[in-house]
Amino acid sequence: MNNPVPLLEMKNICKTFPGVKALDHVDFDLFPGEVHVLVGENGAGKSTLMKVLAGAYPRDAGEIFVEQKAQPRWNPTVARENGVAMVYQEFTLLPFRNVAENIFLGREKKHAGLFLNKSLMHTQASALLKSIGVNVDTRCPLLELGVAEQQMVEIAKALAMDARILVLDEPTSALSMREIEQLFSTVRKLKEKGVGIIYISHRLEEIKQIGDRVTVMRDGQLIGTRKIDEVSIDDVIRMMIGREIEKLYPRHYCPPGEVALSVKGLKSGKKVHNVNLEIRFGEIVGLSGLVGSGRTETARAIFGLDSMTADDLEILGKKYKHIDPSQAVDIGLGLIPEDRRRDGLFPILSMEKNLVMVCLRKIFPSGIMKPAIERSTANEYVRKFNIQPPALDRFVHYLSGGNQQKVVIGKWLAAKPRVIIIDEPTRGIDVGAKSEVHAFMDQLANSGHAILMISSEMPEILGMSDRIYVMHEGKVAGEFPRGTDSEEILRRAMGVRA
Amino acid sequence: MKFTNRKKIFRLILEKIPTVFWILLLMVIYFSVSSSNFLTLGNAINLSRQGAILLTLCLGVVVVKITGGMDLSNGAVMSLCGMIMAWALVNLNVPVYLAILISIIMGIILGTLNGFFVSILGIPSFIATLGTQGIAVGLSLGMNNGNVIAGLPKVFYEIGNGSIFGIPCPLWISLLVFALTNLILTQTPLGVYIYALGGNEEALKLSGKPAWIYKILAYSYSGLTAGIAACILTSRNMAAQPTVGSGMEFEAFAGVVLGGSFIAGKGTAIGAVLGALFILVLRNGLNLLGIPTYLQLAIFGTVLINAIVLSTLVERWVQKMRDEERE
Repeated sequence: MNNPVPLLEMKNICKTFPGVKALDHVDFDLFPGEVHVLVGENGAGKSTLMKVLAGAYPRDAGEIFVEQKAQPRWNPTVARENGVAMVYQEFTLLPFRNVAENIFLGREKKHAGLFLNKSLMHTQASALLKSIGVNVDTRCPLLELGVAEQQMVEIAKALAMDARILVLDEPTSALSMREIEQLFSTVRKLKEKGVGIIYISHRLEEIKQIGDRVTVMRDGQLIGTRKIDEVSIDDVIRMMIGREIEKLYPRHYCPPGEVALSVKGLKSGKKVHNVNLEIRFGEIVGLSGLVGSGRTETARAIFGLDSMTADDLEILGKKYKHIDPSQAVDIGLGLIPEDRRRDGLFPILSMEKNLVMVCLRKIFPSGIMKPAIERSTANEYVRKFNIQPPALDRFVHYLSGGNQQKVVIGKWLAAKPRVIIIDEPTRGIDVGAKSEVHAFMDQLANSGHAILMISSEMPEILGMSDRIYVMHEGKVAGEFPRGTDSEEILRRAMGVRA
Repeated sequence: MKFTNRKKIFRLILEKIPTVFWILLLMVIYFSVSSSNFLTLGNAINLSRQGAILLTLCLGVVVVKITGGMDLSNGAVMSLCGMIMAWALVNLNVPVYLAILISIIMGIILGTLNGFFVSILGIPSFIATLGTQGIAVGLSLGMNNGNVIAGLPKVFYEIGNGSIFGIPCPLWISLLVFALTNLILTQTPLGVYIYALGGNEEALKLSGKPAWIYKILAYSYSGLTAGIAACILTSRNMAAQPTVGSGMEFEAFAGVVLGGSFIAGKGTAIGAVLGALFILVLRNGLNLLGIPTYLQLAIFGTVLINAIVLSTLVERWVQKMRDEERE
């Protein structure tokens, strides 16, 4: 950082939402040509800070300087004029239109102020893409591009608006290893051009590869900003959670019992090639791996949601050739899905209806519902899980993320499964709800259930699992006992041979 | 390598040329063989005079369909525009060009009303345009107590029945509308925004553009084409009939979907024309074969559903080939 003039300074930023102090005197700065990594758990205040930067949220207190000029008025338009651009996780692109049209959406080049100057748009678009080291045909419709290339188009779109302060929000969450490398080389090109980059990521291993400085946030507060060479990943994790991992995860190990589920040579679709795994009663088995390694697809295949073949599938002591979801529920399998809003809940049905949805057939074998029983069943789980507010007739749509997750888990437990597959048990929920969910899982396992836990969060895998399977490209690449260190697991997940 | 290239060309052909084109081709061949009256100049001229109305409507509907909406009102709006135009011609003795202008402006007003409901009030387009349809039907029935308005001036006859350079006027008109629609959709920023509304409305808003205005404009355009179609229709019949357009909205909608606008963000002017032609040729051919009306309706429905199913299947097939190519 030879250039001493910071591109952006945010000083003492405060933002309060009803009941929550989302940002508490946060300082943040960014130099030209720098990658400043911003990390923190969900709910730490990263996205609130970025929304303040984009002008989407007005700040309650604090100052923003762009190249040392104070900016008393700050709103989306001013932010854009000062070169602030966001590249969101969900792309803001048009799938059927070509690359050039997407890059220049809203600021098309025109002939005579009326007609599209397509040739100029294509030349400029391809020059722009080349300047960040990307070679794609600008006449190609977006949907023919891979995810990484689409992301490059999104970045080029930001550059076409003269972005100097570029926010990349979890840019690698949907990318393969090769695509991540491509993204990183683009980011390096952007640094050469003097663009300042704020890089938000949950993948701590990336920080060392791409970052210059790292800022850690927790509970709306700034924990610290460090030069990347001066910290280790463990330091960062410690700063993020503020506690030691062992204290955070309440796993009380107890010796496992019989094999509850075992599968050999499982194949399904394009993502599951050859999976062998077994789970015992009383055990929490972690299933780790990068996004796209086939973990969720494995769970879906075992549950019978996708068509599959297996050399051997044994559940609760019985062999099966095929299984379908309703059969799976009957024999005592439960699948708590990753995306609760899409796959787990009926948002505009009441909490009561959601909670009894899976177990209806079990509690009402005659097929006729009795409201009193329905209510008492639902109430049992509301109490057990401490769902707040305990209002049975409220639409689950209005519950917080953590409480929604408790409803999803409660709904499955109401069906009394013995083998539970739980996909990303604590994604997007706050720290309090998180430790509650972990405590339930611990209880469940110790009361004799078999649990397969899929998780992308390394601390969760390390802290909760009794055994860990690591998946890589549709295969189980390794099996590790409790106490294995994260690097070992990560290396296997990335395909490095032992 | 060569094999994959050939596969890609095959995929591009399937993708770029709407499936309805091939079905249309088959239909034309079938009717030409089975009816000696089908492939004649007389029939072509007759078809183009009658068909120009549906063609014009389709070109408006496709714009709305690309934004992700639908327009159920344009049949009724067309009837109402025709009634008002005829009323002005007969009772106020306005000159023909002014009557045409009145019809077009009336169409734009009703279309904009749809746009207002959908864009500003946020009513689903299905309901909003159904409401406008009701209003338009009611007004056109009320205008002359449900009766036809006839006795239009002689000059007016030329619009629907005259020819220029041997080509029927209605065809000229619909060709002009086609050229205009195609120009807007492919050559202007407005066209990009229309596609953007259907593809990803949020993206358009994030790029700082007033998306709501473009949405209104799409419906206004559909109203405009209904106003133009009303001129052709009223002149063809030399009378305005209050319920003449009922049912046309569904034909227009079916035509547009057949023409490749299956989902929001997709559709072209040329596709809309092909879709409209499909419906016209099918009806005309069945007529010439002397098939009784009740049977015609059943056959029409069956062929329509099959054509849409086939188009959807091809669409999925193309998608699959595209995925394979990427791997």
